[in-house]
Amino acid sequence: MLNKEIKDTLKLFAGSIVVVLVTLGFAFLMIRLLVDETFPFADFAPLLIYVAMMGIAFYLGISLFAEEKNERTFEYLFSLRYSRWKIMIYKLMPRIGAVLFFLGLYALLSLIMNPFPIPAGWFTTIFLYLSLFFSSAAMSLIHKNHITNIVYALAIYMFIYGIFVFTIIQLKGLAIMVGSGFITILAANIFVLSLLIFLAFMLDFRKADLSNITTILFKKSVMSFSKFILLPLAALFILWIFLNRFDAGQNPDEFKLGDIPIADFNKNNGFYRLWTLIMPHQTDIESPEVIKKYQRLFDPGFDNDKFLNEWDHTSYRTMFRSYIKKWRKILITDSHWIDEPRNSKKYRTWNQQILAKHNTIEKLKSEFSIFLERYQKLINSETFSDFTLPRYDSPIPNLLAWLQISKLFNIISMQMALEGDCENGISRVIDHINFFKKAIKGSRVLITNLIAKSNFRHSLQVLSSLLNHPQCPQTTYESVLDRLTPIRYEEFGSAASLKIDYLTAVDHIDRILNSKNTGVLEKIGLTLFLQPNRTKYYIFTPYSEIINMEKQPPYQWSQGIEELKQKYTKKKRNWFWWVQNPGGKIIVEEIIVSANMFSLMSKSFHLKTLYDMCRILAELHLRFDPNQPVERILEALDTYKIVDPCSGNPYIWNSEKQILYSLGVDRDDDGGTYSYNTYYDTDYILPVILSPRLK
Amino acid sequence: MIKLEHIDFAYKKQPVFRDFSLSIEPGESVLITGINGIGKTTLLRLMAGVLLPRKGRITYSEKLGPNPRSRIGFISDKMNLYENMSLQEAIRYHSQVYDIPNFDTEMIDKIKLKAGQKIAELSQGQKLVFHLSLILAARPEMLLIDEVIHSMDVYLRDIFLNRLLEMIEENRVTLVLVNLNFHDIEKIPQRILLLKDNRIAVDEPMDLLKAKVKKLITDREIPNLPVLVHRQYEDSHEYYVYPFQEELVSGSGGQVVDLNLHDIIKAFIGGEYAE
Repeated sequence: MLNKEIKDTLKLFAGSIVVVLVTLGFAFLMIRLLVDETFPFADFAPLLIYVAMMGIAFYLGISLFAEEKNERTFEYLFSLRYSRWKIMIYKLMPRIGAVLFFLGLYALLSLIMNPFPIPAGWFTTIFLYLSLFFSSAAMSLIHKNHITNIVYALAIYMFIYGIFVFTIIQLKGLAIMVGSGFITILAANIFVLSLLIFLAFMLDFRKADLSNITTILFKKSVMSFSKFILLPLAALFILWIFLNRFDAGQNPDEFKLGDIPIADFNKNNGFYRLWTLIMPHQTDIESPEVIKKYQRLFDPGFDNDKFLNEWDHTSYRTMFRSYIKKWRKILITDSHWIDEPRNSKKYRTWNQQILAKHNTIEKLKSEFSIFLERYQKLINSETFSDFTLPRYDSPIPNLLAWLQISKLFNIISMQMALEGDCENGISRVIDHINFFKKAIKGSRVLITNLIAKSNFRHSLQVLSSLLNHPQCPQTTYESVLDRLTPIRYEEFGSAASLKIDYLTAVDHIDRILNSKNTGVLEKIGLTLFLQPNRTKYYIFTPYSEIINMEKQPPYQWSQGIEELKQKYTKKKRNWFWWVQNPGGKIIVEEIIVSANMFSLMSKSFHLKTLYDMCRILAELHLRFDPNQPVERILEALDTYKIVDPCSGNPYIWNSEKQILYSLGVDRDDDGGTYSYNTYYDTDYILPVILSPRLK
Repeated sequence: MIKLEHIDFAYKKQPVFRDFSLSIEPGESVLITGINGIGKTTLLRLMAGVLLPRKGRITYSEKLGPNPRSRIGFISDKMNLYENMSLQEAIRYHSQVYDIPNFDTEMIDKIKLKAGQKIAELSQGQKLVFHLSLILAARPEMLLIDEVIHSMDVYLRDIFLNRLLEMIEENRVTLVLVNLNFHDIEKIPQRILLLKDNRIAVDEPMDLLKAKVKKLITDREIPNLPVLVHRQYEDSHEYYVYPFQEELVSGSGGQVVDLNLHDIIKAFIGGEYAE
């Protein structure tokens, strides 16, 4: 019997290939003759092959009992010695072999014809392909002839694909959030459903006899499927929905808007100047019209929804686009300050590099004079208060522009200091640093906070480089110590930004649940499977943990940074993740970029230690006595009394490398080894050049 | 050989058997008969496993081994083989299913069939003989034959019945026949089963049944005689008496006639229609 089934399947198999080749050939010919000779047939071939493959899956399935049905040989088949189960297995085996063979062939084609555009992704294709095979196999007893087969083929295919496409369209919002994985999950569900229908069919076939082998068996299978599979599934589904009705209570410790500094819409707020930094040259950025343009987006006195809706993201972005190429030049001047080992022949201090680029910097100064002028006003602003609203559709200023102009400003300060006006150059850098302390304290959005930190760090690196310059006068050291007061948590931390980030995420969830734009199915799904309070807890937990840790010096942390990294690195979901609050979990995964959470703290403490060490450096230069060991001088310094937050002990002096360093948030002493690719598993160092001793 | 116990069977909602029981011993030759639509074929199909009872159970003698259905041959005039197969292919297929090493083609040769011929090209009689040769090649212990003889010409019928008799005599095959043409098979059955109203109305050994059913021809009317059929003519009466006892007719003065199987069954069925 198996031999007969193999032979029959091979016939189907050969027939299918011939049909596919003939169809493709015919399509090719017709398109070339009737449509267009230059028609890019090759581009459509993969799609045609895909459709053909789906047709083959259907045909192999529906042919399972085609011969018995057409030739009425069920009585003979059942009179043979085999059990129904064996008959089914013998019939199924070669067909499954053929189905897998075609799948393999398709995979091979996709490798050969690389790149081979698979219309819906690999797993989705496999799931849909197998779904068609199993669902059509389950229906193999209700047809009579090949024309009916084809009609059924099209009907089933269109039905499954229709549901598939409809669901995707309906769930587009959620689908975007979850990405292509969602489509695969949907296809997997269709596959499981088809497999269950087929399973019901197989189980009923065990009790099939001549009196019920035709449509009755199919109806029976459908009934069994409904009774034994669909009903329990429906019951479980209802139970699932029911269990998901029990949301957690409201979090009493939840962050509120009142926890963060009040937004300041005063026209002197530097945040307006950050927004308008890159506006066209002729724009008067201080004018009330310009200021109002930004104020109305966020000031509760205006219809924020309306103005946010009208906000033209594209035109704001394009204002910056024309400067990108020019700003690359600024990056060239930003050679890293510790790139080369100091004993290398190639080694040139950053100061030497800046001096060598005099002409480039002069050119940049004149080219960007208007931006630099605006930037100076920004630094001089009395206040800096980020007034961005905690909602996902809030636009933010052009931070890339801030990053680049800040660097240019620093480099100009360096040039000024190195070319004779050391006091003013360093004074500009100190102004800049003090501005960043203000900006971090006043920042709301996490990315604004991070960019401020990055600029701050760059400024501290510039300052240390200038303090190490042999011609740096004593008065500048005094000025540094006088004007750079010990840094407070608010000036390097991220608590306010993290709280705003949390509130933004919560706002996002509320908006999805209440928005008119949310699709019907998406809304139903979210209403049934998203527990708002529990979801807020998921977001609150890591945020509050990070805030608490950041407020503590790392040497007091109860867990290591590696442990924290493991905790917040995106984990593979366990098998039963979907049981409770699946919608909430999916959304949270999309909202929280976990990897950034612990690197954020690392950056904060890198900044804090760099700041502390710059102050120590200034005092060390001031009190430097070539006849005394550096260690002894350090012990006597006031600034050296502030301990390294990562060790709880004084910053370490490495006389061999001539560096001061902190252990870093990993709390391991790597002997002053610094890697600037990561901020969490490295020491934080500051080079010290105590002239004229260093050769 | 086979035991049916408390069987219930229905086509959709139309019941055929209710609490039906039957036992057939090894080596028995049984004829099942009854009016059309009474369930004779259904009974054979249940025994063959083609139909499955809704309730009750069917057990087979241990003699039939762990897979009793492999020792049962079932043939019916309503049964189709794979028509697109050639005889050669059908023989190969059947040989593989039943592990037959050497297929005996004697019967096929006798009716001059060619190996390359398609089954679809055969007459109904040829198909039945070919099917019987397939079944007999598997050396069954039990044969279930459903109303096949009427489809065959005299020559094919002879071949078919002779081979059947050989099987019974040589191999003591258990035979269950469903037939309505009793002249040809008179010599075969040892036991007669008559189905009536979804149950067995008569279950008698052939010899005993012949002794129990007699025709009485008399010129007068005899009341209270147990009859299957009573025919009244101008000057005489015909009584098909069942169960026949000498003392019942001793004073009638009539003539008692022995009946052949055909007439006995006709009397039973005729009686049923008369009711």
